[in-house]
Amino acid sequence: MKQYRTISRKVTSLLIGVLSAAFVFMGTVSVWGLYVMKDISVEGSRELGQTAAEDAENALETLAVEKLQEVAVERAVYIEEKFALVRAYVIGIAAQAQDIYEHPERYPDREVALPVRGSSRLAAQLMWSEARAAEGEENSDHDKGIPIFTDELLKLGNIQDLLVQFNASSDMISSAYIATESGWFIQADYIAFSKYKEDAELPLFFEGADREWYRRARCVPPGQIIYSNIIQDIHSGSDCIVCASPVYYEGKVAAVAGAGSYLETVHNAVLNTTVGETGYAFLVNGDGQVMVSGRTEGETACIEQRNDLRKSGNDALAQAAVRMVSGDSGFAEITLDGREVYLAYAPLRSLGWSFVTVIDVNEVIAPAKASQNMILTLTETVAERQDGAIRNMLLSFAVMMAAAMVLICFVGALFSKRLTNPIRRLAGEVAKIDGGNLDCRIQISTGDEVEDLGNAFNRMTVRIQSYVRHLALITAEKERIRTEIAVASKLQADMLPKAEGIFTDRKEFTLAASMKPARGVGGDFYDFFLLDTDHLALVIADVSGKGIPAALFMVVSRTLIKGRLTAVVKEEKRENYMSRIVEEINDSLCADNRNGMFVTAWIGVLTLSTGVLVSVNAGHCRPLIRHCDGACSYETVRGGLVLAGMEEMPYRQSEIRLDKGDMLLLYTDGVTEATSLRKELYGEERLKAVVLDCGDADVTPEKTIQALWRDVDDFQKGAEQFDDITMLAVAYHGSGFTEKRGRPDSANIEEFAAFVEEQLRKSNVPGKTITKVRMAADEVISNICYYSGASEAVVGVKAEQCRVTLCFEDNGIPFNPLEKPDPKLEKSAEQREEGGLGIYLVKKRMDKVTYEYAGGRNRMILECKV
Amino acid sequence: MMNNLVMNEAMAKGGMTIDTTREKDRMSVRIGGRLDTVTAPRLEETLKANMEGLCGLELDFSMLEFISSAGLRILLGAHKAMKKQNGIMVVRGIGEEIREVFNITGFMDILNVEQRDQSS
Repeated sequence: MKQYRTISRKVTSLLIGVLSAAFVFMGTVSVWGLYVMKDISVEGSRELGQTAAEDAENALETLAVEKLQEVAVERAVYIEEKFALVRAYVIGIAAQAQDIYEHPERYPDREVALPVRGSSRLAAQLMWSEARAAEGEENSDHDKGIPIFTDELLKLGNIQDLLVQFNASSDMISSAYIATESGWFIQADYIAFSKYKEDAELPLFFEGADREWYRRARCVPPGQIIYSNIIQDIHSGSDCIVCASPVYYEGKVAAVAGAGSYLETVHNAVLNTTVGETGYAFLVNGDGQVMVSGRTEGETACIEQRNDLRKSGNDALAQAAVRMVSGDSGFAEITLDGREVYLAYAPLRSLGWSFVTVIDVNEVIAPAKASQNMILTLTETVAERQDGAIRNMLLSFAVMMAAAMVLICFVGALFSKRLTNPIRRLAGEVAKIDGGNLDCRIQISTGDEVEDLGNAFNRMTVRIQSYVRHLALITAEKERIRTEIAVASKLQADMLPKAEGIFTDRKEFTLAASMKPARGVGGDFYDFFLLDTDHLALVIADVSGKGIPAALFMVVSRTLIKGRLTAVVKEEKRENYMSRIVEEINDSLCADNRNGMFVTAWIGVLTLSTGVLVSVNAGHCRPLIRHCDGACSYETVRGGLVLAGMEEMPYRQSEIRLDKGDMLLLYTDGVTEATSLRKELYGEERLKAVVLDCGDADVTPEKTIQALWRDVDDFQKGAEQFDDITMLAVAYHGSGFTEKRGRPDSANIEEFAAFVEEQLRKSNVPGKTITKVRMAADEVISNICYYSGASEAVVGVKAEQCRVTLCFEDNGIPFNPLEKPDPKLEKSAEQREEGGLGIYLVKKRMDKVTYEYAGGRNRMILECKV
Repeated sequence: MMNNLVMNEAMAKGGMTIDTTREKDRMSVRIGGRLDTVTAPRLEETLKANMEGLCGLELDFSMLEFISSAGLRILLGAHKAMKKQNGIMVVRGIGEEIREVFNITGFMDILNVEQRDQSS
């Protein structure tokens, strides 16, 4: 069974459910959407960051490279310029020298001082070669060792000012000098002190021929410059680059002018080149060697070995170096010292060098990266904030939902109450109707289906009312019919004579009977009645069918049978009278029988005084006779067809004699055809067995029937009683008369009469009755004695509680005293005849007088009530 | 009254007693017991014997128990005979039994029946 939940609750639940679902759904969708959005934005931001970074990178890159290049170019130019200056100086010196050689007259003699020991002042200093020194030994007018100043020297001494000047004016020039073929060397520099070897008196020798620059410069045409490689300054020991130019005199190299530029200077120029933070520069010479580098370590460091970068294992670097050396300017992005770097190079054409600037890519793109990071960080922050916002939103959602729930509950309850109130009212009204108040009319006007329902209920109620009325009528009718059937059943039951308490004063027989219909009213019946004092009629019958039709036919049959028996037997007692009676009964039943019903019947008349039983069995079960010794036998004479079967059927009567103690058992086929659960039939044998079992004559009909009933009940236990069951048992106790036989003559009249009186007194019959009866007996006996001519007479006396019966039997001439007409009483005494009074008195004073002539005997029976 | 039946010797003789009292032409007969087929002839004899010159015949039935048709016949005969000789027969002292018989047979109207309370 479904749990009972009010509509209110259902509505509320529904609302809550739907709204929750909506909320949850919306919430989920929103949150999901938000997260998606967040992701998008984060992604977007990231992408933005990325793109921005990339763009920035690119921009920066470009910028950086540009800058690098710029710087490189600038520096290259700078250096070149510097060197150009040097070059110019050198050419200037060479030119001056040239001029001096060509026009010595223009110039005075000038001596060049020797280097001052320990001095670090800028001064022109004279040095000479060993060869010159050897010469000098010969013509020395100076101190020992100092060679004699030649004219060449003296004249060339004019150049010292230029040398000094040049040196002083250029920080590039570490020393300016000129070296002659003749072995003279005039140098202007700051390191005079380094010109002396320890305690040597004389300065160091200067071998120009040993000098690369000298040698190289000697090979170039005038006005041309050579740059040396990085060489060690002979004096300072520092690396320097010499720029030299030959001085030709008379088509031959007379001297070489040069200027040494300490690499320091170049170093500085290089080292001072910083690009950004990590950027540095290096100089590459025409041999691909790093001359100066901002790095002291790494692939581009300036090292002793001076590797050719072009031969570097770093392919990118090598390639770049190639280009550098070939005088290209450009840039590259390579990996250097394990780091991504941008490389820009610009050639120093005149020197055949390349100025290279390097900067870490990272540094370059650092801002971009920083930007990106910042964007990312921002993005993260934003994402976090978004997360936070989403969480907040979720929280608010939850709170809102909770609030909404509460609200819903209220609203829902309220609303659903409003909704369900009419329904509840309806339910209430319907309950009233249900409670029995069919006049109640529902009044609901909510303008919706509830109202329709109310109206429908009203219509229904009206209809129910009419149905109820109708039904009440029908039920009353049915009740009536049922009652009538019950009444009919009772009537029918009552119709059948009760065996208990009846005929209790009749000592000749005992009766017991019972009938149980299968269905309310039945078709079986039995009947017993006294036709007269001496004749007991017994009937048992079974109408075909069951129920009311059978019952009705049963009534008809019974009435007919009883009527016929009562009427006819009284009047006629002829040969085969039973056959005739039954035939007439049959014809009568056939006449009125349109429904083809029939009835089996056993009809018999028992003469009580003799025990003679005359009967006709019309298609009925065989009666069972239990003899006084207990033996049982079935009566086998078949009388004929069932009654009401066909008209003008013959019937055969049977005549048997019951002895004192015999019992006749009549029954219907409801007994023999009683069916057990196992579908067995009860049968005649079982019946006989039960009766035998009962015992002998001491067992009363009542007990026998009860025993039989019990057995049948037992037999058909559980199964339905299929047919009406009827039983009738009659035990015959003899005529009940106390008899006196004798010869009827006048002498014995007194005896007979006295016998009668005696019997009566014995039975405590009241005196008045005795007198009456005695008188009657007197008359009858007198008649017999005087008129019958009988040789034997039997007088029987039967005194019962309420009745005295006398039976007079004689074998005389047939004489029915009842035939004698009554004497005319109104006649006067004279007219009165004498005879006939006796019988008249008997007739008048006895309650019942019957006569029959049977078996050659007159029989007269007198009955007198006590 | 009839309840207390007195049994006397007469019963043995058929149960009837006859007491006659003759006074000249009047006779009173008291009959007791039963007047039936057996005993009736005796009464008849008695009556017949005394019929001569009788003017008044009184039958006292107060002791009579019952009467049968035979008795009735005798009575009727006696009544007729008295009437013939201009005499009167009166019956008196009849009990219920006798009365009933007389009523049934119509003898009540025929005979002169004296009621008990009429007796002087």
